[in-house]
Amino acid sequence: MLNNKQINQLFDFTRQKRVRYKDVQIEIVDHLATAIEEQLKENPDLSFKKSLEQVYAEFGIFGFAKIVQAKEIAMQKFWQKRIFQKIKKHYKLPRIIGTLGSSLLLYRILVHAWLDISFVVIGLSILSIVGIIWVFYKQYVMDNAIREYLYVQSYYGIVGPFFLLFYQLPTIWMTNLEDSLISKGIIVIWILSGITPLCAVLFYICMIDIPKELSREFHNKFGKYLELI
Amino acid sequence: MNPNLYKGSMETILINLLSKHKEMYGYQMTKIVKELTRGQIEIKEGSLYPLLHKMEAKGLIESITKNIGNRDRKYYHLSKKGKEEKNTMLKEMEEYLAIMNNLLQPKTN
Repeated sequence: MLNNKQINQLFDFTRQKRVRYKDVQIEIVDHLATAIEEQLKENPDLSFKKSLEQVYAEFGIFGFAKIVQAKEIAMQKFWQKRIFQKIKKHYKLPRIIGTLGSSLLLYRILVHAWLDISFVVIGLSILSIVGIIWVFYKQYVMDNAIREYLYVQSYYGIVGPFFLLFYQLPTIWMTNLEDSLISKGIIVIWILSGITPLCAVLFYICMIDIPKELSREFHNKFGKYLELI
Repeated sequence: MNPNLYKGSMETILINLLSKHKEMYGYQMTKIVKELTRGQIEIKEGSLYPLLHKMEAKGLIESITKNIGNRDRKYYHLSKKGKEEKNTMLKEMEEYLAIMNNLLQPKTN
């Protein structure tokens, strides 16, 4: 078996080859180490450096780039799926009672003009801006050691565009508010009544629910690496 | 063997392999495939890990990291969804092989 110094050299090697995520490095280092150990068993005269060159050559002309890219895409899909699964839960019993209840309540409020539609639209915009600022803030205050993990980075990479998307919807409406009120009236109220609770659910999931789980899961999976720093 | 012939079958190959083992790690998969095919099929590392990550994102496989002494190793196993999909994928592969066989060696009446 390779010694700790050689394992650390493999981690340095993967970093030099632009694998910046620690969690991706772990799997690649194990593969490199296992392949080198097998080579050295068959050919004890081979140097560690030469063996590494040969093993790395097996990764092809793109080296580790394809692996990193594939992992980034896989993690994006992982978090997207997680967010959608959590949203779905809010549209199943028992939570659907609350979600649809909020929609119906908002519909009544808007249809009777107890609250102007523009307040709801502005509210959604503000919520989106708060979300975008939150994403930047979380990444700014994040420990550098944690920032190196794709598991965490990919989550904030997904969530930012979600908030941006919801910022765009109210903005589009705001620029056409007069026309939409006159020509589409009740349809606008139905749509707003539907998407406002959805937005609230989404913001709760993205800013509170998943980050709590992410923190726990991250420390379970990678906590020991942070203790070594 | 021309890799283009089996490129599209890699997912089925890995699902079948994982169904026969409790858990496997990446290097082990490349080694076993090479041994079973007597070197005819070699899964390149640049193809294996992207595919494993894709399959994990699809929920067909799950992974767990274990310490093996001086480093950690990621082991993969079939998820519940993967076990359910396995039979469908193998059946599709058998049908495909039967069709190809008929195409390349048509029975004469």
